[in-house]
Order: sequence, then structure tokens, then C-alpha cells
Amino acid sequence: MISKKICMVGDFSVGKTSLIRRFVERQFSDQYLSTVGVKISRKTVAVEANKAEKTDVQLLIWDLEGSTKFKGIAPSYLQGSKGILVVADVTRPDTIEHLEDHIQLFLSVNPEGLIMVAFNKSDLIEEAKLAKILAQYQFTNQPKVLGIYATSAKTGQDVDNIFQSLAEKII
Amino acid sequence: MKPLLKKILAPRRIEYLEVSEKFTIQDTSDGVQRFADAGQKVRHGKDVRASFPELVGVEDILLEVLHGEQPAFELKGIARYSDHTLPLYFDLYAIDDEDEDTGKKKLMIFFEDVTERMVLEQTLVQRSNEASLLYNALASAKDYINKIITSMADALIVTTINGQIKTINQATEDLFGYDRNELIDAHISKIINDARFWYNAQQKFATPGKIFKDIEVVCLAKEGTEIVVSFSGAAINTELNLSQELVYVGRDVTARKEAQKVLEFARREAEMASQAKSSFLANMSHEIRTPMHALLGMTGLLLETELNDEQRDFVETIRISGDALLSLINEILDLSKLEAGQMELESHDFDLIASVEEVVEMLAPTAHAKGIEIASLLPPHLPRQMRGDKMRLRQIITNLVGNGIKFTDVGEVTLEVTLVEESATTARVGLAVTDTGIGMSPADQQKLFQAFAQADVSTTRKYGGTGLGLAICKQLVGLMGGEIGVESELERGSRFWVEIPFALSVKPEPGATPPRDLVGQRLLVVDDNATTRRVVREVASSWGMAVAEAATPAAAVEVLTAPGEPGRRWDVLLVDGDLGLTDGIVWGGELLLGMSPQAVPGRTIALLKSNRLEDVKRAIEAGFTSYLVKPLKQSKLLEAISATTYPPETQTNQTAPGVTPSPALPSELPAHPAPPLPKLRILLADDNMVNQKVALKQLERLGYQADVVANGAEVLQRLDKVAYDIILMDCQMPIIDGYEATREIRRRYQHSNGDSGEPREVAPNRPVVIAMTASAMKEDEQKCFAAGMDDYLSKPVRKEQLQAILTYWGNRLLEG
Ligand SMILES: Nc1nc2c(ncn2[C@@H]2O[C@H](COP(=O)(O)OP(=O)(O)OP(=O)(O)O)[C@@H](O)[C@H]2O)c(=O)[nH]1
Ligand SMILES: [Mg+2]
Repeated sequence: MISKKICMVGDFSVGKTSLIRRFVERQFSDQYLSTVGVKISRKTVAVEANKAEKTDVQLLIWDLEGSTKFKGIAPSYLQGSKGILVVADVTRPDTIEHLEDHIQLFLSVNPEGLIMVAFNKSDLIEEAKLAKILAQYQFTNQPKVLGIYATSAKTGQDVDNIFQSLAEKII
Repeated sequence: MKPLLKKILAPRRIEYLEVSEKFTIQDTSDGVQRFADAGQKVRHGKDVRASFPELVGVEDILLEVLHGEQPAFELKGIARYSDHTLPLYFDLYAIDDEDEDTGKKKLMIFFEDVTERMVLEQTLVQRSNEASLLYNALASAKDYINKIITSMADALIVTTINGQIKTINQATEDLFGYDRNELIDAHISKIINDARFWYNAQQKFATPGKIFKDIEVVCLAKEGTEIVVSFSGAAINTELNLSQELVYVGRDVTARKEAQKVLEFARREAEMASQAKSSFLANMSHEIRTPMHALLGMTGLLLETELNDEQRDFVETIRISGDALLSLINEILDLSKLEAGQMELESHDFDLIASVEEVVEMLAPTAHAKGIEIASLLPPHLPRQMRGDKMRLRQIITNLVGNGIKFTDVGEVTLEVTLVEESATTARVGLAVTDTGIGMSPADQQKLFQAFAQADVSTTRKYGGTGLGLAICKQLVGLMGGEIGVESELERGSRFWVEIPFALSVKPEPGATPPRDLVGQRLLVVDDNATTRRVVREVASSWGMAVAEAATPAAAVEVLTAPGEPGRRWDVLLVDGDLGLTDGIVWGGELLLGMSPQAVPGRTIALLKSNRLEDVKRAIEAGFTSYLVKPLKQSKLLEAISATTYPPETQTNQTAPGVTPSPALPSELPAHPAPPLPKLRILLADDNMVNQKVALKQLERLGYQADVVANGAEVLQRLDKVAYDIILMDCQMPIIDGYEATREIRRRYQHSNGDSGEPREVAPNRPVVIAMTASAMKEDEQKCFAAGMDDYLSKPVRKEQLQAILTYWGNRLLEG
């Protein structure tokens, strides 16, 4: 079985760890525990490789320490990553603003890497506001951005979908 | 691995692996297993990536290191959770090495336990991140509040307790026209120049929690314009420096104020216009009354001179028109007062029955002149003593009865009084005026009580009148708390009714005990008018009399000749002087003549119409013992029926020399001629020549003489020379008016009098001042008394009034 490395990238406390936990363990906690360093989780997904033939892929999901004003993301973690989930917190505009930087950083390490954007914590704002954000951040200038999702680790909204579609793209 | 190296690394908790070009494990240190991924055994020959997934994807880099193309590879802070408790953190280094025996390239991978450092780091990051989040939350909360404050339409100002401005919003800048930097740190007085709004310890809003609300202040904007701002505010305690700050929220209400001002202005204008209208009317009434006075006075005098029939007719017409004009003016004045809500009711004790009877009596000549009957029906046990505005009640009755007479050509007008409701202290009195006149259609009835809307224009032309009377009645009745209404049928007549609540007077009811000896006496009334018969029947039966009625002579004869009757005595016989086709006096005389002496009733009374006073003589000559003038009044009827002395008073007293034919009725005339007039020194002050002439003529005819002056100044001059008894004083005169002159007279005689207190207390030699004014308003009367005048005559002055007032004061002067 093939294994693929992907990374969770984004500002601190946007929900990277929570998304993994939801995806891998199907759990969620309201508590915030900052991630330091890196933690790798595994999850095997079935993907349609080429002609309608399903193969299992083991995702090695790197949960990186969130970027802060004081400390950015260490590029070394991104080496060898086929794709990333770049995550923002819809209730914090600055985390959305930073998405572009994270994408840049990743592409500078892996120019061929693929990107999924997660507007997380979508359960916290109204539908209309969310629609406005999604309309505003289309990343049309970023060809490597292959999908944009409004996710919620709390409700599970689009969590499986975003991982699944990233898995399919990187195969 | 060299044993030496192992020895060095072991105490530092650094473990290692040797990995081949193919990533297979070739050698391990003893403790490396604990760094491996959960459940993955670290064994020789196994792919290192199975136990260390962090190497997946970075194979290229590892190979570069292995071939010496890169110095090293490292990953820091990898976390391993064996279970869900504490994690293990390690750093990973990869460097190249060469097998000493084979010379083959291989990778040395070192694992250093950094848990301690990372746990510490986690704590720091956690704190730092949480602080950032909190800061973010605060910042966005502040941002939110700021957004609200800036986007607020109201001006917001925060000052220190000393009044130094700390915060303002956009609305404040806009409202006052200052830039932010012109206001920040400036004193609040720069915009609110009102000390009420600055901090002071006594101030309510200095206490936290207390707020002041919507206090309007005139503020000064930068360019000097005044704006009215409604401020609310409060003191707040700031946590940070433990001091107070004051928050003001102001709203520009200049526009609202302006609108209010415009409204207020409009209201004032309207008020002034209505006042102007009211005083215009009052003035008009004054202006009109003055010439009217002259007109009516002169007409009265003219009528007493030698005139041929045609002239008399002309003058008569002038007098009637003048009277009509005067009452019209009064009506308009009343109505304008009522509509302006200025009419005030008086409250005095009065006799209800007397008031009603007086009005009907007063109007009787008019009705009788038209050949119609008029009567008042008063139930025997009606309470008499009421409290209320008698004059206004009389006005209402006069109007309704007058209308009835006006619109009736055949038949009668009756006024019936009923007691609708009575409590211990109040009585609701019903008055109904029924006529047999032209009546009204329902449509016309609706318009009736509105001013200036007489039922039918053609009616107005035929019957005259303004139609104001009913509008006045309605308003007056409303003012008295009563109701008014009408029922009518075309060609059949109308019935106007009012119900008015009165307070019962505390004065005792006059003992209405009828003479005992009337009980059982027999009375026959012969009258073709059913109402008159009813009046007599009701009243006489209430006294215990046995009443028989007859509508015609034939019916009367029938009664008198009924079985058992001939020869039997009737105590009272009442005969109408006008029995339709039969002359009641002639018939009555013959009837009496034909009776046996013992059958002749004790009292034979002729009932006469008020316009047929010449019949009095005929009736007495025909053998009647007395007469009554219609409409019948209870008191007069009782007097006549119970009279024992006859022959009754004759008519000889009626015309005293020099007295005009009096409107008073013969039965009410004084029994003696007027006593000789006291010699009075009279001064007449009036600036109007015509008025002077009228008054002088009237005085002359009353047997007085008077000196004349034209203004108050002349009055005072004359007083120096002559000691007048009475001054007839016009109020409006040039130079010194009547009021001022009177005040001066009062002053002059003050010392001789000792005290000037009571206005009606006449000092020994002070002349009596009687005001004569053309204004008919009550206020004028008060003004006169306030100036010290003793009495009051309203123009046009009638000779009778003049006589009465002069007699009164003459007598008082005589008495000393
Ligand atoms: N309501 C809601 N809360 C969420 C969601 N995702 C994460 N959270 C909460 O957000 C906080 C941060 O979540 P984490 O998953 O720890 O965030 P992170 O991106 O891993 O943070 P760092 O590790 O510091 O970079 C936690 O309190 C979560 O419970 C979500 O979708 N909805
Ligand atoms: Mg995390």
C-alpha cells in the first residue's frame, strides 16, 4: 500500500488538529491544546485511481504547529508533502488573510504540491456571511488550489470530503 | 557502530539507527524502540519508514545526505503518543556514514528525546496563543463597539470628570463642525456651554448608575450657529484608573425645535386671531350699541309725540327693527362667546315656576296678537327652588317659545315642565315646547341646531330670524350638562324638548299649602282651548276642588242644566273671553243674569288675552267679579279663586301721568301711584350728542332735570361748583374717561368719608356714580365697579330702567 504525506497548514487555533481528529478519530473537543512540533496521524482511504479501480492509500497527515506572529511554519516539515490542507478560521479575518502566505510557503518548498483550502469553524457564522467569504476568496490566481471547502470540525461538515478529494488529487 | 560512540550517546538519551541505501535497518541502539511509531517493531532488515513514518516523502533528501550531497537532514519536535497520556517528543538527525568493513555508504539516524523542552515550549505557546486569542477577541469587541459608536447617528462624547474630552465619534464632529483633534483634550465647555452638564459632586449623574435623560441645551457649533441638542448621559467608573468618566449622548433636535416653534407660532397666531375676533365682536357690539341706543331711545320718545297714523306706523317699524337688530347682536355675541368657550354660567338660587311663568307671560302678547293661545303646564308638586343660571334658562325658554310662536299661525304654543328625575340634591327638569305650527321635515330637523343653518331659506324669508337662537340653545344646554332635541311633523307642529339638571336649592320650598276652604268647592271652566282647561283642571283639582269643563257655550249649558244641577251653586266660574265665534264676555254676562241669585257662583272670572285689555272694563260691566290675563299663572289663579273681596281691583291705576303704557299686566300694577320724585341734582356725562339728547329727554319725561358735560375732565370741574347727587357717567369719553373720573371722585371724597372700602357705601356728600356703557359684556360691569362706580346701566337705556335706578338711589340719598 502506498503512503502519501500531506500537511495541515495555517494560523494557530484555526482547527487543524481538530479537523484531523474529526477525520481520523471521529471526535471533537472544545478544548484548545496548542500543537507544538509535529504529530503524524495515519488514515487509510480508498481512492479511485485512474479507471474506476479503487486502491487504498495511506495518508500520513502532518499536524503542524500553527503559525503565530512570533513563529512561522518551519519549511522543513513541508518537504516531501504531496499536498496540504491550508486552514483558516472564518471568525478571524486575519487567519483568512494569511492563507495566501501559507500557500506561497508551501509552493516554495513543493512547487508541484496540491492545495485544499478549508474555511473552518463554518458552524460559527451565518450562511450568508459564509457565502460572502467563499465568494471573496476564490484563489483563482493559484492553480494549485484545487478545492475550497467550508468545514466544521465540530459538526463534521465537509471534513471527510476535503481529505478525500485531496487524497484523490495527489494519487 | 563504534562502542565508544555508543558509550557517549547513551547517557544523553540519544538513540540511533543505521540505515542502508535501501532504507533497511542495519543496526540499532538499544533504546531506539521507544521512538518508533506505535506498535512498529524496530528490527534488522526492516524498512525504516514503517517505524518512522516521518521519513516517507523525504527519501530523495535522505539519499542526497547519504551520498554526501547534503550535510544533514533534521526534523525537530516530532511527537509520539504511545497512549493518550503524555507525548514523547524527539528531534531526528540523519547524517551519512561509511561502513568500516565494506566501505558502503549508509545513513546514521539519531533520535534525541526533547520531551522536556517541548512540554515547556507547549506551555509557552499555549499561553501565548491563548493571550493572542483573547487580545483578538478584545480587539474585535472594541472594534465592534467603535463601529457602533462611529456609525451612531447621535453624538457621543466621553470626558474626564474635569470635563476634558477623551472620546468623540464622527457624529460629534459632524454635529459641531469641529475636527477630532480640535476637540480631543479640549474642555467640554467648548461645545456645551452650560454648567449643568459639567461634573459637580452634587449632580445626580455624578453618581454611577444614575443617568440624566433628554435634557435640551443650546450648543454652539464651530461656525457660531446655535443648535439645540438633547443630551442624555451618565458617569461611568473606569476599571483601569479607578476614576470616573462622563459619557454624553446628544441628539440634534434643532429641526424638531424649529418645527415646534413654527407650530407654536401658528398656534399663537390662531389664538390671537380668535382673540381678535372675540374682541372685534365685543367692540362691534359696543360700536353698534351706541347708535342703537340713540335710535331706540329717540324712537321711544318719538312715539310719545303727536303722530299721525302713518308716522306712527313708520316709527313703530323702526322700533321693532331696532329691537330685532339689538337681539341679533346679542345672539351673535353669545354665540361667539359660547364657541370660544368663554361663556361662563352663573349659579344662583331661583324659582323655577316663576321663571317659566315670567317668560311665557312676557311672550304672551306676541302670541295673542297672532291669535294663538299660549300656556304653561306646571305639575302641582314640582320642586321650585333650584340653583343654576336663571338668565340662561330664561334665554333658552324664550328662544324655544318664541320660535314656537313665530312658526305657528293657528292653534297654540304650550310649555310643559316635568320632573324627569330627582335626587336629594338635584333635579333633572324637562321642558317641552309644543306648537301647532308649520312643522319640519326630518331633513330640516337635522340642520336645526347648527349655527347659520336655518331649516329652509324660504322659511327665513317668511318668518325672519337668524336661526342662531337654536344653536345658542344647544350650546347653552350642553354647557349646563343637559340635552336638547326636537320631534316634528310637517304641517302638524313641532315639539322641542330640553332636559337640564339643576342642583336643588338649600332654600326651603315655599309652603305650597292651598287654602283649606277650597276643598270640595265646585269650579266650572268654559274655554275652547283644551290646554287652558287642562291647566285649570290640574291646578284646581290639586287644591281639592271639583272641576267641570266645557269647551263651548252649549256644553256649558249642558253642564249647568244636567239633572240635579239647576239651582245648585257653583263656587267658581271661569269663562274665556274669546270662545271662538261667541264673545265669552257677552255670553257670560247673559248667563249670570239668567241665574237664580243663590245659584250665582261666588267668584266669576273672565279669562282675557293679553292684547285685549280693553275687555277688562267690559267684563266687569258684564258682571264678572274679576278677570285673569292669559297665560294663567298658578299663583294668580289661586289668588283669584280664593278671593273673597270683590269687586276686584279696577284698572284705574294703570296709567300714571307721564308714564308710557306699561308692558306690565294690569293685575300686577302697583295699587298706588308712584310716590313724588325726590329732587335730585343730576349730572349727565356723555361725549355723544345724540346720547346726551336721548338721556336728557328721558330724564325730562321722568320729571328730572340734569346738567350735561362731555367728558370726565368737565365732570371734575363741575363738581367743584355744584354738589351733585347723581352722576350718570358714560365710560368711554375723551380726555378723562368715566373710569378715571370716577376714581378721582373717589379720591376727592375719601377724606370726608374716612374709609373708602365698600364701593356701594356712599359717603355723605359724594355723588352717586351710575355707569352708562354701551358694552354689554359682563367684564365691563366689573370694570365699572372696580373703578368705584355705584351702579350700572347698559345702553340702550330704557326709560323704565332709568326710572328704577334713580328712584332707588334717590330713596337711599333721602334716607341719608
Ligand atoms: N465551533 C468550532 N470550533 C472549532 C472548530 N474547529 C476547531 N475548533 C476549536 O478551535 C480551537 C482550536 O482548535 P485546534 O484544532 O486545536 O486548532 P489548531 O489549528 O490545531 O491550533 P494550533 O495547534 O495551535 O495551530 C479548539 O478550541 C477547538 O475546539 C470548528 O469547526 N467549529
Ligand atoms: Mg493543533
